[in-house]
Amino acid sequence: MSAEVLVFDILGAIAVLAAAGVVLARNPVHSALALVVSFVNVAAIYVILRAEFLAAAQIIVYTGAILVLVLFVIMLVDPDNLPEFHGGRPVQRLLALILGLALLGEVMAAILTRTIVGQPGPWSPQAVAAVGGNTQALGRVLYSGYVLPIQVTAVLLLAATIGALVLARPDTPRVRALVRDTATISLAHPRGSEMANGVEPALPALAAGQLKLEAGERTLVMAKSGDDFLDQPVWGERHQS
Amino acid sequence: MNWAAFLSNYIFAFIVLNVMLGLMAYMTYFERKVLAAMQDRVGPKRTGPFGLLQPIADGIKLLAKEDIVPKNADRLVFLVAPLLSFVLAPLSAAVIPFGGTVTVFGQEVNLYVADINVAVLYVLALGGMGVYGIILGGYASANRYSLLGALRSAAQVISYEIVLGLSLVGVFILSGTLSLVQILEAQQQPLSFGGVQVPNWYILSQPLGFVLFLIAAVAETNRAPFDLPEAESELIGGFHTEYSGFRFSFFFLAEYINMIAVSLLAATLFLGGTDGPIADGVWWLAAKAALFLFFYIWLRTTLPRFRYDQLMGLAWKVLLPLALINIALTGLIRLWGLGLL
Amino acid sequence: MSLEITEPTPVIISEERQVSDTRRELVLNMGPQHPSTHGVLRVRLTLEGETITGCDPVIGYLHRGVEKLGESKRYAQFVPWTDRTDYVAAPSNNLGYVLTVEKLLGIEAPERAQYWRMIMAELARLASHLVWLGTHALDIGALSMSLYCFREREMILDIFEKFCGARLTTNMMEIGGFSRPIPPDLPDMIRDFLAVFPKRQREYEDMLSANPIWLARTRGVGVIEPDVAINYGLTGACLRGSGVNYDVRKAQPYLFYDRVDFEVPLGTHGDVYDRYLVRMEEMRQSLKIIQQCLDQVPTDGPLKLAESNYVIPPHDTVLTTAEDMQRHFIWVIKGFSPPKGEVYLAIEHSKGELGHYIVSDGSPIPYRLRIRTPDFVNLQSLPYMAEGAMLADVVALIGTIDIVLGSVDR
Repeated sequence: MSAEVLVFDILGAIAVLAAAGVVLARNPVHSALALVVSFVNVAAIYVILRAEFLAAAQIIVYTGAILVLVLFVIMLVDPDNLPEFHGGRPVQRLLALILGLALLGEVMAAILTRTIVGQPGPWSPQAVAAVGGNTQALGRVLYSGYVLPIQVTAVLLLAATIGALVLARPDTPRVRALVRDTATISLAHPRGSEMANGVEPALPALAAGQLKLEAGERTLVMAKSGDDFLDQPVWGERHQS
Repeated sequence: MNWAAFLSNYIFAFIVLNVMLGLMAYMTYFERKVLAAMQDRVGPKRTGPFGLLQPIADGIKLLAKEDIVPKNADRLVFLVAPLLSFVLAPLSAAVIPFGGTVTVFGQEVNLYVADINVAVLYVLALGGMGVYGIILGGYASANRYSLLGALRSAAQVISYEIVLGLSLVGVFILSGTLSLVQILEAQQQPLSFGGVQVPNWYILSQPLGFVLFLIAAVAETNRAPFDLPEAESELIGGFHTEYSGFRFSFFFLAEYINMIAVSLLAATLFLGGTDGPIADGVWWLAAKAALFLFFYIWLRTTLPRFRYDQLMGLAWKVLLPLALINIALTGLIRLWGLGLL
Repeated sequence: MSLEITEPTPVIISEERQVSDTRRELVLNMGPQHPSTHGVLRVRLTLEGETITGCDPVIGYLHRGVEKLGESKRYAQFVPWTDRTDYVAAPSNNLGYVLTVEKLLGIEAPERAQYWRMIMAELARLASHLVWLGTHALDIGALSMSLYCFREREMILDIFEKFCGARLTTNMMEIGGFSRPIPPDLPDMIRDFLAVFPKRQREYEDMLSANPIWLARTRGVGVIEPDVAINYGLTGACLRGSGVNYDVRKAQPYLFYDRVDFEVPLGTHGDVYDRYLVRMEEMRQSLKIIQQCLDQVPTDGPLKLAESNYVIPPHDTVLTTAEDMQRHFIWVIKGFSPPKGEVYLAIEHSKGELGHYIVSDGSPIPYRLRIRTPDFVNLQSLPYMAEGAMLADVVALIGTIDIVLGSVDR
């Protein structure tokens, strides 16, 4: 038994155990963690198979992005509100057991009788090495023979993203009440009722010397005396850039 | 199997790992001194000559502190999360080329731990895995501030990892490889413009990519002004609010190791790594990485912190389109250079 | 006898709430132990994601019953307590109380003392604004600003220390003036500060005023419309940032504010950035006021009102003349009895209108003492500004109100 087979056996065993953990864990976060372990082991198996690009993509896409989003959702959802996915009715459990055993038997039969034997493709290890590695080989295949399917997939994903955005948008965006019909007690300000009638009192005319230009394209109004701007605050359309 | 080569490679990996850990300790000293100088203070000076023993004192303090696990915490995840962060952080140093090949005792030794043909993707994958420490730590603490920190972190890392990856595509287009060793080699042939020798560093041919990489790298390592997951003025400690003692120090160390690793990566990808005007060698790489580390600290003293929505807006509305434009432009120029346009 | 210790009932401070099928709210308890609630403010936030749907400030964690204490102390004994309300601008609090008592007594301090009171109050305003700027910037994430601001505040505290021996709780003003002489090198110390500070202030503005992140975090955040500001009873920069021209120094001048030339900055947008600009400009105006006071103040003359039964007699005559010694004895042992009546006086504190209301029943102890602290009133506007903002904005909003919990809770 070569070292590679030994390593494969170890990785495969861990991956299978972790996959079992995904199903068996009671806590959804633990399930997700077990899935991370499984994915990382699968990626390691890709490395043994000299598919380094696939391994890196597996980790970046599945572990680094998709599972993070899954965790994100799990954390946002109240654990009490999760649908019951352990147990269920006895009929469901029995059905699941039978279907699972059937699938297992099918796969085992296929493997043991060696009915699934693929034909070797055009990319022999020598051919891959000739173009500079499996990244380059993958690129050549995907972007020459399969340009259209890739573009279609991209458009499909974009449409799905936009659809998700539209669906997730809150129906009523919160808007703070802009017009407040309140009477005020005060020294220097437009009476609230006047504003509500749509009558805006005229703004005070400012002399050039009363304006002070500040950074960030803002101006400050400099009041020389306490009697300035008493009818009206220095506030209005004119100063709102 | 060539056991001598295997052993020499192993010894080199051991050295790299330990140098990274030692550097990380003194990175905290460097940061405190630079911060102090910029803020009109003196910084650590009592512990040993010039305060040089301060990191060691800090380490002892953190290791000797009580390790508190909150009552409602998800105990297993709480204990594993800092280890995950800490173990993943130094791994990216494995693909950084610290030089070419040297002969020691008649044995050829490569000054890099591994030359993988998808080295850059490997580093990105590690970054993607590293976020698990933060998310799980925040989730397991059973604290609302931690949870908010973890959620922010998850969203931030996913967004900025896309920018980080796309900002590097220009470099790949120019160099035609994903291997850091080959990218470094590609930068070592100087360009010549009418007799003037210009180093072929990718910062000169990929200025936009470099800026994007720099911003995304700061965000990826959760440093100011993108330190939202641990924004102390809003979320107290963010994801590590409930951590204490050496588990806290694991998060802390992981952050510093990540900073060093990203600086080494930036120096290798954009600044020619070990390439220098005279006497190429690892010292050039160290000097360039130190420049980036200084830049990190400089940012921290100077800039206020972004708000969460502004941070995401920056990534998706500004940086991502710019990165795509950069890729398109670089691709066009490359085609023109190959005479295909 | 055994002492029975009962477990305190746990107070549930946060719970999650299902608002509708798709929206869930999270209640986050911010404070009273939190790095950026400026002491012991507690804010109960209702969050939907990072957006705030409800904000409920809870105060009282630093309540010491200062007003009630004042109703059990003789008038002059209460001055040190005013230091402990807004402890970052102690001289201003001293001034507000002392002026109110003087108004009740119908006395007025000598001209020289009035000028020095103005100088000290304006220095206190500067010190307070520096603490505000440092902590506000620190909350928003600009780490270094706090250290720069505290560097300049040290200079002001050194001036206070030179003048009265204390740096934070100064207790520097007395009913009727000052009993300590002005140290001869004090004017030069202040002039040195005036020479240094404008350059330093430009450095702060270079760091913040046009910084894109600072602008993004402050512009359009926490907008208070002028009518809302007035209805909430805001004063100080919170009111003037909204463009309402009300500054007690201009509206009802006290001391000699009508003799000095200064301007009141008014904001035009009413957001966090405008309040920042207004306070920065106020610091410049304070410098101008201090400069004019230093030029106008008489170099010689009494610092304290003499020959009044309400004022403690000066030390030298206490030790040389019999009548002053007796007067001093009675003043210390029995205090003084002001006329019956009630009085309210407001001054422009660094945070807004600081008012003291005293009811006198003719005894040496006030019948009622009420302190209207500006930040207590200004804090009301926090829920208004916070609703619909992001979690990170809350710290900016707490910072922009400029609260000191000692003053809010009293």
